[in-house]
Amino acid sequence: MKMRLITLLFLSITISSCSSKKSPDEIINKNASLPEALNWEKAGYKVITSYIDKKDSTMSILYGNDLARKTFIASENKIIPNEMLALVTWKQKADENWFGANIPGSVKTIELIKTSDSKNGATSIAYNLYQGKEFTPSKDTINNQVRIKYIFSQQPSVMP
Amino acid sequence: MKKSKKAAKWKIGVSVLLVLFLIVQFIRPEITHPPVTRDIEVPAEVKAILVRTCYDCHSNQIQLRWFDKIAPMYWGVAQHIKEGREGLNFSEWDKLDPASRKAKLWEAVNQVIAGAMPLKDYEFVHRSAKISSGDLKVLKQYLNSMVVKPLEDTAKINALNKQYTQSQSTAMKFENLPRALNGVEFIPDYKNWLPISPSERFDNGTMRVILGNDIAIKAIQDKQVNPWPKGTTFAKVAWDQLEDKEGHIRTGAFKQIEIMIKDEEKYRSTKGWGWARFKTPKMIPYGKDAMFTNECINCHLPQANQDLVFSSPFKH
Repeated sequence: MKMRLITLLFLSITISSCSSKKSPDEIINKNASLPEALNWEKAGYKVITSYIDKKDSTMSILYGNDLARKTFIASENKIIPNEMLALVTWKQKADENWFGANIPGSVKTIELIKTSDSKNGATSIAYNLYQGKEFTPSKDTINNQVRIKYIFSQQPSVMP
Repeated sequence: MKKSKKAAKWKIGVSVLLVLFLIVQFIRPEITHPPVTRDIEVPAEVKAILVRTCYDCHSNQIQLRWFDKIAPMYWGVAQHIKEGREGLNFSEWDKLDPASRKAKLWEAVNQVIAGAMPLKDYEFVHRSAKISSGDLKVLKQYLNSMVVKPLEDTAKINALNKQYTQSQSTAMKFENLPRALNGVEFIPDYKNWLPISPSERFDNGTMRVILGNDIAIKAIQDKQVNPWPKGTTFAKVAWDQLEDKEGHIRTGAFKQIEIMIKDEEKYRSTKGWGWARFKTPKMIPYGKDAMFTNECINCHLPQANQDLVFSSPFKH
């Protein structure tokens, strides 16, 4: 017991003085990071809402430029030119730092929407789907209209 | 001659130490024995683990071993009990509301997983306090069994709709910025920051987005995140989860926002971070006094090897 008491003193000193610091590479969620090609900051995207799909085990953040965010918050169901939206969807994974939480794993899809004036006075909507972190453009356009409708139907999160 | 002198010195030294040892036995900080107002109620196998591994510091039913009563060991034990009860007391479970009870249990298990609890020096002497992987499995299973997922919860939907109506009529403007009890102010501009991670918290039925200011976003791009640079500011926004029958979960009512501001000098007394939590859209500062930060720090301390930050930020 005496030996233990002595060792205890040393042990408590060692434990308090050294804890192995994690490297930035271990901290940053690399797989969930977005492709640089997007130039995210310049686009002026801000968070509109986020949601989770338990069936697919995915989580998403819907971003928009100032105009898009304003339009969503006003919830007038209007689509006006110069709105820019980005919907990022990740595969979920368990949070290593908190038992009881899920966080983004790898990037699954990135969907971009841009609205603009068209010649006949109506607003045209350009929709593009990209797969994964590699930002591979998807050629499949079959769901485009469904996705556009879905994205514009999202309610913005309350952010006081 | 020389040898006997040395032996004499030794004898004096040992005697001095012995006398000192006896004197310090009279320095005895009090260990109180308050009554059990309400013991935690959990299944027997969970209770057995808690009693064996936590109760000697986190209850009013402590069992001191003979060696715990000898100073300087005694001082450490007395301190552990004092701080332990302040942080979590299984014998005064009635002092917590049901949501806080649940939150405390998840936090406690997370402290065990992170290796922060039981305290390593304590565990070294008190081998019975060790939590085995089998014990941990029992604890985790119990917590998972407590997760309830109400689908299309009318009360929660109503709470959200009420917030919507209010937010649109008043645009939630503040004449004076709400201020936490340690002086940290609410930052309305967080809405214009980029997110560093979303988080689904199935332990308490909330979902979150953690946002970072420009300094934080740049730090992630530059890989300078441990420690985070001065001025780094995070805002963690929490909402109710609203789940429908298809397993689609959207954000419900706004619950709270939590802020962390990095400044080693300014916030030296609170581990280099300025902490704040504001509840409801009225932004009611959390806690009774400035000591609310103890709660923040205790929970974040297991993340000391990554500057007390839980989030794994993604890069834009």
